[in-house]
Amino acid sequence: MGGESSDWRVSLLAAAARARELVARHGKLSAVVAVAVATVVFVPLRDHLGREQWGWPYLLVVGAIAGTAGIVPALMAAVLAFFAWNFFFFPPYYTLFVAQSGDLVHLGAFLVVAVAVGWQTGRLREREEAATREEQHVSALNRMSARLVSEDSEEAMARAVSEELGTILHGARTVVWVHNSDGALTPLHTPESAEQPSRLRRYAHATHDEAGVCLAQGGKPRPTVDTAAASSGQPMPDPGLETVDVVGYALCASGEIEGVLQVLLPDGAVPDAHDTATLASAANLVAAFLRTRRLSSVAMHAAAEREAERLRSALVSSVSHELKTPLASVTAAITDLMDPEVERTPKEYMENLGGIAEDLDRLDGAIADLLDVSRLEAQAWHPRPESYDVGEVLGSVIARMPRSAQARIELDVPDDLPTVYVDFIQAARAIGHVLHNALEYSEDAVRISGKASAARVLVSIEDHGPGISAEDLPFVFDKFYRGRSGKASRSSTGLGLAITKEIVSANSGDISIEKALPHGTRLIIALPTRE
Amino acid sequence: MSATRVLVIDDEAQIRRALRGIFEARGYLVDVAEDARSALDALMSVTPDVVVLDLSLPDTDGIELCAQLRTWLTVPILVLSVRSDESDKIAALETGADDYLTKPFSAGELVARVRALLRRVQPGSGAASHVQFGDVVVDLAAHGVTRGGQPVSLTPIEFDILSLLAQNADRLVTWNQIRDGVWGHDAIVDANTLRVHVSNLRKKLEPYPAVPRHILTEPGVGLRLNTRDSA
Repeated sequence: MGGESSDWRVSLLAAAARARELVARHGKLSAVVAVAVATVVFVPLRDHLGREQWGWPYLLVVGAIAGTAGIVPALMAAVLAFFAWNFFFFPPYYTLFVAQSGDLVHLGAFLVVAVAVGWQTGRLREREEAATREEQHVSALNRMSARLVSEDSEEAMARAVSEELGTILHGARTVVWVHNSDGALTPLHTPESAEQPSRLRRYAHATHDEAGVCLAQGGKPRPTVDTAAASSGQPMPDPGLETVDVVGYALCASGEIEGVLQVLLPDGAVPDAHDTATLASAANLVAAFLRTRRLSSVAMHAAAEREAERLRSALVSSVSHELKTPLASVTAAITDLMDPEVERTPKEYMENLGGIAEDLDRLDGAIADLLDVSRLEAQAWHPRPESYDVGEVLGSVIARMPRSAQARIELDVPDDLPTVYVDFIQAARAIGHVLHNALEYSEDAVRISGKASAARVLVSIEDHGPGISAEDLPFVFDKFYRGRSGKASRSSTGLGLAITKEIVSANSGDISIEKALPHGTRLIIALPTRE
Repeated sequence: MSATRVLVIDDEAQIRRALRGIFEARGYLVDVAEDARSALDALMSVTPDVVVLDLSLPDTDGIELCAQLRTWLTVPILVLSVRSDESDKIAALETGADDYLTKPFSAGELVARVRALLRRVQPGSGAASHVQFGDVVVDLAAHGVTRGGQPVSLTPIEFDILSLLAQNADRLVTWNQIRDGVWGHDAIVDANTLRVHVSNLRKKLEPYPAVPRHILTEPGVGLRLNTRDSA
C-alpha cells in the first residue's frame, strides 16, 4: 500500500514538475490559457460571489503565473484578468462598459495590485531561478576545477570538461581544440559525432584573429560565433551531422592562446550571458590547465637537455683525458727515442716501443668505445642477428685476449646449449666489455658460465674482485660512470657497460648484476634464442 | 725468383708511407696509388702479386673497385677497413676480396696476412707441410693429425676442411671456399651440414669444444684457423 501511495505521489510530483516546466517554457501562452481556463471555470459560479469579489480568484491566477513563468507572463495575465473580470462579471455582461462608477475603483485597484503582485512574485521567482542556476554553474565549475587538478592527461581533462558542461548546459557538447606543433587545431577528445574538419579549419583562422582581442582585453576570452557556416544556407559537407552553431571560446592564459573550447548547443541555440560567463570561466580553467601542462613539458625538455649537456661535457672531459693521455705518453716516448744524445741498447728500445704499443692499444680502445657510443646513440648500428652457438662468440672474444688473461678464465659452458639469435659482432663487443671489466677489477680467476633458461641463454661472468658497492650499483650502466673502488678506474672511458647495455637491449636481450659470493660481481647477459 | 710486388691503394698519405716502410723493410717491391683512377693506371704498367686495398677511397666505393678488379685480376686482394665498416667488410669479401684487416693493425699482423695470401697462390714458397695450433699438429703431406702426440681420427670431409683451414692458417676462409674446396664446384651443401662438420672438428681438436679458440667463426663470412697464441 505504502509503495503504491508513494508511486502515486511520485507520478503526481513528476506531472507537476512537467507542468511547471511547460509553463516556464511557454510563459506567455500559459498566461493566456490560465486566464481563459479560470474565466471558463468562474463564469458559471458568477452568482455565488459578489461581482466585486471575483478579483481575488483572478489575483491567485496572476500570482501562480508569476511564480512559475516570470514577470512578463504575469503582467500579461494581470492585464488579461483585468479585462476578463470586466467583460464577464461587471454588468452589463459581455461588454467592457462599466455601469456603476464605484466598480471602476474595484477594477482600477485590481489592475494596480495584480501588476504589483505579478511584478514582485515574478522577480522573486526569476531571482531564485538565477540563484539556482548560479549555484549549479558554480558547483559544476568547482567540480571541474577539482577534476582538472587530478586529471593527468589532456584527453581525460577534455572528457571531464565535456561531461560537466554537458550537464549544466543541457546536452551541449564541448570539444577542446589545441594547437599542435605546426599551429593547426586538433581535438583532444571528440564526442560521438566528430565535427567536420572544414568548418574547424575556418574556425582556426577566427581563433588566430581572436589573439589580438584576447590580449587587448587582458586575457579575458570572448565568445566567437561562426555564423558563416550557419547563415550561408549551404548544405553541410557531412549530411549526417545536425545543424549546429559553432560557438567557441579562445583558451587564453597569460595572454597566450592555448586552443579553443568549442561548444555545440542543440537546436541552434546560442548561449545567453549567464552561460557565457560560465563557459568563459571554464575556458579559463582549461586554458590554465593546458598552460601548466605545456610549461611542465617545456620544463621536462629543459631537464632532458641539461642531462644531454652533462653527458656532452662528460664526453668532452673523457675524450680529452682518454685520448690525450696515451697520446702525450706516446709523443714523449717517441721523441725521447729520437734524441741522439741518449745511447740505448736494443733491449731498451724494445721496452720503450712495447710501452708505446700499449698506449696505442689504449687509444684505440677509447676511440672504439666513443665510436660505438655515437653509433648506438645515432641508432646507426642496427643488429644483424643470425643463429650462433654462444660459445663461438665467447671463443672469438677469448682468442683475442692476451695469454695471461686467457689463463685466468674458467669455462663452464655446456655444449648442448640452444643457439642464440644475435648480431655476432655486437654480442662479442658486449661480452668483451664485461669480460675485460671482470679481468681488470679482480686478480683471481674469472668464471664464464652458460645455461639455457626459457627461450634464452644466460651467460654469466663472475669475478671475485671487490664487487660493486651499493652506492655505485644504480649507476654502473650510466655513460661515463666509473666505480670508486677497483684498480681499473684510472684507465677507462666509463663507457663499456653503457655500450654493453645498449647492445644487449638492441639484440632483445637483458643484462643484470648480482653479488658473487663471498665477494665480487656476477654479470648476467640473457641472449634470445630463435623461437 | 723476383721480389714480391705489392700494390697499396689508400687515400691516406700516412698509411701509404707506413705500409711502404713495412713492406720495403721485408724486401717487397711497393707501388702505391691514392685513388681508384691511379690504381687502374698503375695496374696498366705493373702486375702486383698482392693488392692491399683500403675500402674508403675518395673517388670510388672501395667495394665497387674490389669487384671491378676481381673481374680481370687474379691476384689476392687484402681489404683494409675501419671498425665501423663490418657490413662493408662482408660485402667486400662477397665481391671477391680474399681477406680483410681492421685498422689499426700491427705490422706483424699485416705481413702474416699477406704471406698467407701469397702461400695460396705460390705453393712451395714457404708453405708449411706442418701446421700447429695449441697441442694439435696437422701434417698436410701425410694427411695426419695428432693431438698431444696422439693421432686423431678424422673423417675425410673433416680432414679436408681442416687442411683447407691449415693451408690458410690465420686467414679467413669463406664458406664458399670451403664448399668449393671440399665438395667441389657446383656442389650444393646446406649451411647446417657444414656447421655439423665444423662442430665435430671442434669436438675432436679444441681444448674446450663448446668455446672454440682455434677454429674461429667469422660472422657472416666463414672460418679462421687461429694458430697464433696472443702474447
